[in-house]
Amino acid sequence: MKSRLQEIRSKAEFEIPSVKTEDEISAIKIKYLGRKGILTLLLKDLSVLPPDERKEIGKLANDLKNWIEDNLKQRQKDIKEKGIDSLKKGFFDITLPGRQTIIGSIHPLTKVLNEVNDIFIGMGFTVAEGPEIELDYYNFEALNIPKDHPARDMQDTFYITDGVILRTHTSPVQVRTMEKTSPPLKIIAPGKVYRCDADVTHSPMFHQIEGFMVDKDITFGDLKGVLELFVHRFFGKDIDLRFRPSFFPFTEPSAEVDIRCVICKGFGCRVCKGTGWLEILGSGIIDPAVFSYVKYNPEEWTGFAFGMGIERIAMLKYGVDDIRLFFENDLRFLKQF
Amino acid sequence: MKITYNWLKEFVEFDLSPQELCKMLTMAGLETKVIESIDDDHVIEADLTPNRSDCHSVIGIAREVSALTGGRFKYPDISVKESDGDINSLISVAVENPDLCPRYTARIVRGVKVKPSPSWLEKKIIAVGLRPINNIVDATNYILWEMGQPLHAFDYECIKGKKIIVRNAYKNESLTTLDEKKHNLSEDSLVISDSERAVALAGVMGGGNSGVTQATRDILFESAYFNPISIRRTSRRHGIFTDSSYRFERGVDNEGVVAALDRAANLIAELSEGKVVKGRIDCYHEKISYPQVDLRISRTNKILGISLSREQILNILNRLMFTTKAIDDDKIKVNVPSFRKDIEREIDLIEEVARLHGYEKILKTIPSSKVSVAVSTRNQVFERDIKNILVSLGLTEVINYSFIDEKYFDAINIPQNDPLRKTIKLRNPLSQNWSVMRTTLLPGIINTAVFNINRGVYDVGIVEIGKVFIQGSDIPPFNKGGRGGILPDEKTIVGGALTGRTEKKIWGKGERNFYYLKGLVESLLGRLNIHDIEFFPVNLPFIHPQKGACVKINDEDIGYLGELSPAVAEGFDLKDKLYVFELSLDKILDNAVTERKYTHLPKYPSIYRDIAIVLNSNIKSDNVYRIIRDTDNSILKEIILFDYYEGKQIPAGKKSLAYSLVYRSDDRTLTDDDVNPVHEKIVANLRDKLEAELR
Repeated sequence: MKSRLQEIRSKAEFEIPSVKTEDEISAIKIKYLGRKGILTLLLKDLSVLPPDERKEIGKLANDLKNWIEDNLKQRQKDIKEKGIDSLKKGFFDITLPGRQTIIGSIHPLTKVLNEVNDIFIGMGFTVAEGPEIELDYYNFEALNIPKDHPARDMQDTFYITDGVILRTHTSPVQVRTMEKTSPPLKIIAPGKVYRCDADVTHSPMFHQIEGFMVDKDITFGDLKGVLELFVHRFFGKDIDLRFRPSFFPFTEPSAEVDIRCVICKGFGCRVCKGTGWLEILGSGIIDPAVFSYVKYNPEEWTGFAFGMGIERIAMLKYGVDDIRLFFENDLRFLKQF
Repeated sequence: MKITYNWLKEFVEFDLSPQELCKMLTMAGLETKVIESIDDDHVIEADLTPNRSDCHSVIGIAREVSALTGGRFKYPDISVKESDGDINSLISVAVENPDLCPRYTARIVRGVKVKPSPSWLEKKIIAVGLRPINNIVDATNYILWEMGQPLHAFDYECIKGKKIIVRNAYKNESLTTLDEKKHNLSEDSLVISDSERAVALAGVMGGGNSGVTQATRDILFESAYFNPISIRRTSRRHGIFTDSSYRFERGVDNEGVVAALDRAANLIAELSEGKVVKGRIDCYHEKISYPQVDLRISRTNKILGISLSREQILNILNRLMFTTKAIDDDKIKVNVPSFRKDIEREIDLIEEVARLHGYEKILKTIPSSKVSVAVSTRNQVFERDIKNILVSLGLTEVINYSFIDEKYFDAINIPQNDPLRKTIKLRNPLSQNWSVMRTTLLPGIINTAVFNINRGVYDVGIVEIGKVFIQGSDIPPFNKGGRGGILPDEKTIVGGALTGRTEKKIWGKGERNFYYLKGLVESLLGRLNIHDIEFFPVNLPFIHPQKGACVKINDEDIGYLGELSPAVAEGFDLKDKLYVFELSLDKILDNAVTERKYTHLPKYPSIYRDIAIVLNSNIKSDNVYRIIRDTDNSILKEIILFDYYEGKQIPAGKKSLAYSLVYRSDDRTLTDDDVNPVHEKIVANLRDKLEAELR
């Protein structure tokens, strides 16, 4: 018995190192340790031996079994490693450029417009729209800007006829909405507007977003609160802002909102013209004259309104120094956003 | 408007540096900054809002400083050293149209010597940006700047008939102004005239026939209050914009008219060794009354969101030179001074309270409104979705101007009577390039593509979503409607262009062509759950006669796509093929399905079978598709064209199409016995109906 065990071991010692594939390993495993394997059959013969010998031989056979299994495992590991080694042959260049699919991009003005919209929608404002070719009535008269008023000089207007113009601001949407809807109201109105002006900071077509809120007890403090919330969301929590008295025919009291210059942090630079502040939006309490045009009772309702230029805040946000870039549509510019 | 720091100090006491002063004024609504320092003085520029006509002068700003600081305000010295004589014997004044000239005052200074001004005066005038001319003109400008009242000096000798008539211009009357420009006057324009002719365009500019010259000995001075609207119209009508017209059209202080006249007359007599003739003319037709405005303390606090006491509010109003009288516990009656043309209503006073109290002191609050649901319109949501889909398909969003040059209708070959040419025209365009409102996005899109290609960006994929403007068809445009006009239709179009490759240049391939564009439009509409899309041949003057299609959903025309006609491309110097499209956003939205419903994923596996056929080249692939599709409607789930071939390996006039057909059942696993009969029937149908042979 012992000699047979010795014989099996020598055979295995010879065969195992010569296997080359995982399949051969399985074959050898079956040959020695399978249900009809050499060692398995030998172990079956143990029962014929006397008990003390049986114990000794049993132990030896078991040792041999473990020895074969260990060696096969080791051999299997060696083969795997060798297989991976073969993948290392030749040369694969990972530095060749990746094959990129061209992906488009959203216009930076749309991005900013969406962001501003979303901030106000988050505060419960509903989005409204109005026509770009507008009646003088909605653009001026009903906003308390009568004909022959010097306030008309504030906005250079493109005329189509005496009564029809390209809207100079998004404020007519205020009147159109109030005409159709009873308060309370919380509205924003984004869109294109037009003024006869073209240089580095003025474009004859640009975008504005108008916002207004009408309710029973709206105060000037509410206007300040809402706009501060907006500025902090859009430009960051650490941005200072200030409210400065100004004049718009359709609001009173009116306020210009300045933010601490995002370029120089308030020390004074070219962008803020040395003042440390940047004008970003106009606002105020809706003038009772506007309410009278839409038949709201100013004793019952009060409201605030604000408007801002999207190009202006996009230029500040992205550091763009020439407004014309937005409308030239150079793809190398547009794809930066 | 520019003033100087020291000039201001002549009229108000304050203890602030120029910078501190400007900051204080800015935060009170008078945007000011120090722009330069000359000797020991500082030039301050004020950017004033149109409502504050009272601040267009040194004393106007001094009044504000006084109100803000509490410092004492000193009104200018208006005493006049009169000599003998009587003005009424030298001149008579008649105001024919008191509506346009509510007040006209005049004085005469005799024996003046016209010469350069003393240096103190020249220095002040130069500092605020004016050009010194002579002592007479400089003095009137000086008083204008100081008191905000425009003045005009006539050469008394030139006034014919020793008569001043303030009247409307006659028909066919003309006047050559001081700047030597001849103006044909309108009957709506107000002129100052002598017994024979107009000698000044009232409030705007004097006439060359009566101005002060080196030879002038006696001067007639005018100080008046003209109707602001009339001055504004006259100034615009004749295109003359002066420091005078600027102030008159905003409204000067009608009670300050005489003060300025007297101060100017006295100053000129001093500077020119002349003598002020005794007396003054003052035609004040009907004294203008000033509003008394009631202010409620409760209303003020409610609107501002503050709680000021009556005393605090009274104090603010009094500092602004408003006189006040309590009516009851809440109400105050406020008398508005004559220089504050902007204060007529309670809300105007509330703004004054807010301004002087300081906006910074008003606490920020969040409005306590009832719960409201914020919504975007369906259009806005979709517009955003569509942009995102197209961006993911490789297009970049562009924004072009809404106005274009009419010449582009020729460039894109639009026939003369085509509705696209019925544009809305701007009356005052900035340039020919931007003179009519677009009726199509195409010119802008082609130009953007060309612009990029010319700058070396060859792979162009762009999209624009914007409005086109269409004149109403039946109604003549812009006749009077309810609100003064009828507006055109504004339609939202999604348009774009493609050229170059789908992958970056280096080593990818993938040309953008007609089928790529068609696939892109199908993908877009597919994402919006619009699957019933059909493409028909289209005849458009700017599209290739074959490589173009009209896009239809449910038999409705929603737009076109195709290759830009080579003739049009050539006109734009475009060497590459450009694939363009325009679709109506509104019509897409009408057909888009917003609501999504889940359909179960397939439970059983699909069987894939390929089929390659050879058939006549001129058979439309759509015919093949329909025959395959209509053969079976139970287990045939997808038909995918995976190869198209024309060439040497098959006979001339033939093409090969290869399809992958996907068979699947919803209730069991299919076997070859299920699929084979269907597949064979498809082959048979193709052979019978199209003479297509298996390849």
